[in-house]
Order: sequence, then C-alpha cells, then structure tokens
Amino acid sequence: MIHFSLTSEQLAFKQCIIEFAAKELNENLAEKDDKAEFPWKNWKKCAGMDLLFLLCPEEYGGLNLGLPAAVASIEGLSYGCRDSGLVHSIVTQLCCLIQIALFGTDDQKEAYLPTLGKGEKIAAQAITEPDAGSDVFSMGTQAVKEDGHYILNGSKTFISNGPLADLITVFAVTHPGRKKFGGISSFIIEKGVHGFSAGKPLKKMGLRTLQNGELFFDNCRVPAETLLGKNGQGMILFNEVIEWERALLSAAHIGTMERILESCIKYAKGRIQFGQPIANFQSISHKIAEMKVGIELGRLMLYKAALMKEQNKRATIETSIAKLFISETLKKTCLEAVQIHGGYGYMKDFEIERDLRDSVASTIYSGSSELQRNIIASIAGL
Amino acid sequence: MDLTNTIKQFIFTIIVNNNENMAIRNTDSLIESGIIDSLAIMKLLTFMEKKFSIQISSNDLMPENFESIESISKMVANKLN
Repeated sequence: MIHFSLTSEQLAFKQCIIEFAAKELNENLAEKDDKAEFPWKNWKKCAGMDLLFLLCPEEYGGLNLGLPAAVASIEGLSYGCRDSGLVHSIVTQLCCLIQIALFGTDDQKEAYLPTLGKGEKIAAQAITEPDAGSDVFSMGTQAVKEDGHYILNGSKTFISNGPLADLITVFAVTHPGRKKFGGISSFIIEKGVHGFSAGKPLKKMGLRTLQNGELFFDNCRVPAETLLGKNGQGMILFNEVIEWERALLSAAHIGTMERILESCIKYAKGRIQFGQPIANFQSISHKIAEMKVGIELGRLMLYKAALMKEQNKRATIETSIAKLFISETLKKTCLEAVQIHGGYGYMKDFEIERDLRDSVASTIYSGSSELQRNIIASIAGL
Repeated sequence: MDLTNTIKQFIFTIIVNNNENMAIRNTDSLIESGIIDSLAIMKLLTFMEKKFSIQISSNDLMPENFESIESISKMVANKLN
C-alpha cells in the first residue's frame, strides 16, 4: 500500500504557481498559436519563478523538490497556464536537466545545471529519427570514437525545443553490433559546434508555441568529455529519464483537464436550452462525471508512480499506465468539452478547440499509447 | 534453485519465451545475441528486484553487468552480500 499526500508547503507552492500562471502566462494566446511563436517573455517569467529549477539539486541553485512535488507544481502550472506548448517546453527542459543531474559528471553538472535552471540556456533531448520512432533503438545516428573525440553523423526529427536549443542530449550508436543494449550512448552537444545544425520549426496541428524540428550531425566532432553517463549506457539513461518525462507530461495533462472540467461545469450551468441549464440534462452531466472520474483515477496513478520514483524504486509499468490512461483521457475530455460547448466549442474564441488540437499528440509523444500497452503487457508477464 | 539458475530460467522462460533454439550458456553474450533489449532489461530488472529483494541503481546499470548470465549473477550476488 502506498500512502501519499503533499505537505502544506508543497500545496502552497502549487497554489502560488497557479496564481502566477493564470495572471502572467495567458496573454494573446490565440495570436501566439496562429503565429506558432515561442513565448520567450513567458519562458523568462517561468524561469523567474524557479520553475526550471524544480528538480535541480540544491548545490547547483535548484529547489530539489523531488518528483511528487514537481508533479504537483507542473499540474498547477498547466491548470493556470492555457499555453500547453509552453508547459511542454518547460517539461522538456526539466527532463534534460534531470538527465544531467542523474548521469552527468561533476564538471557537466557545474557547467549546465545552473544555466538550465535559470532558463538562460534551452535544452532538447534528441532521440527520435525519421526511421526510428516507436522502435527508437533502431536509430541510425552513429558516434565513432577517434583520437579522444567522437564524430557524430545522422539526423533527428520532431525534437521538442530543437530549433531553439543551446544544448542537446543526443543519443547515438557507439557499438553498431550491440545496437539493442550497450550499443547506444548519450552526448551533450552545444549549439555552434562544427557539423551540427538545426532545421526550422516544423508546422504542427497543435502545441504550436512549442518548437519542434530536425537536427543534423554531419561529421560533428566533439570531445570525449561530452559523453553523458558511461559509454554504452544510453538505453539505460533513456529508460530512466523517460519515466520522469511520462510522469511530468501526465501532470501537465491532469492540470489541463482540471481546468477544462471547470470550464465545462461553468458553461453547462449557464447555457440555457429548452428552458433550463443544459447541466440538468444527463447527456451533459454524465460527460462531466466521466471527466471527473478520469482526472481522479489518473491523478492517483500518477502520484503513486511519482512517489515510487522519489523512493528510488523502478516505476516503469506505473509511469506507462499513468501516461497511457491520462493521455487517452485528455483527448477524450477535450473532445467531450467541444461537444458540451456545441458550436461555440468549435470556434476559436472559446479556446476549447485549441485544447483539443493540443491534446492529439499526447497519445503519440513520449511513447505512443500502443507502445505503452506493449510495455505494460510485457512487464505484466507476457 | 541457486541464483544463477533462477536468473537463467527467467531469461529462458520469460525473455526468450521457451524458445528451444535459444540454448543459452552462462557465459554467452546476451547483448551480442540481442536477447537483452529495452523491454527485456526492464522485465529482468523488475524480476530481480522483486525476487531477490534488492535495489539496482543507475550505477549498476552498466552493459558489462548484463553481458551474460554469469555477470548478472555476479552483480546480484554482490548486492546480496
């Protein structure tokens, strides 16, 4: 049995983030969405609130909150901030930071953690390739060791924060014969290194303020000291960090769903049809009940997984269950929210349509729902 | 059943699904043969942590510790001691 509850300080911090986000991060969202602009000003405001420092060890200036409190904070951020692209960008930064905090050398931590936490540098994690999506370890990018350096060749795609990133954790094959395990390593590559270039942001259906793009490595020669973790430890590093990522992204989705639920309740109470609020009709109230059930069940699984991570336990199946359930529930919730709002829900002015567009990728990124089911079935014993 | 055989049996029955064509000796490379992939490693870790009541940290998760049944057994034995 797992017991968890947030302390009064953690709850107060979450409330503080909600108020900050609601007040500071929601200006001109439709325009930013239309232009697919990265909200630099709001990124800096979030950094000013130490949101990028949530998981950073204290000796590097961080808050070192632990995953349950970080999950609560991101849930609060996503509840208050209606720009899901910005929230996703922040989660990406946190995941890169935790990679370096967990696996980096002292020099790497010293060099990168403070600047990432302050938001002075933007980070990206480069794994996915044009021919390696769900089958991520079939990647083709190679890193060949030569004279105390590694030479990287290959390309990555769909990389969140990629077009803006100052530093990227890049996964590449270092032992082609051992591709599946022990053959992949991770590197920290900084912008400006010869042989590295980033493509323009890709145009997307949703999460349009988040910048995703291609990265290219053409005889990109970097010192051996850029290796993150040990040679051949890339798959292990990925498996560890993906658990943090699935928990944090799920936290963002819970916050979004909570906000949408409240919006639906308010609308259903105020919208009069057939002489009464539509909330009186079970066809509406049952949709809202289903949303509430999804949020509560998802949150329970999420906090269980987060607590296990804080206790240094493996939470592969727990984070996969949380990610699968919450992302599928998010998509369903957004679709039902449009339905509850009727024609208005389909219009851009009501913002629900943006939430729906933003939700579609949630069952694809960080491991598709199909992949989560494979992981769950496999660890369950198949 | 001793530690090595417990691990060997798990790998044979769960990871390679009782494939009779996959005769695995204790010193065979599980990495070179492709037996240990990303899902297999998670299954194996989950099994070992539960079965032997041990915690395998990120520092233990080095390829050389999972090279063969022999090296896996050695790592687990060190933890138990």
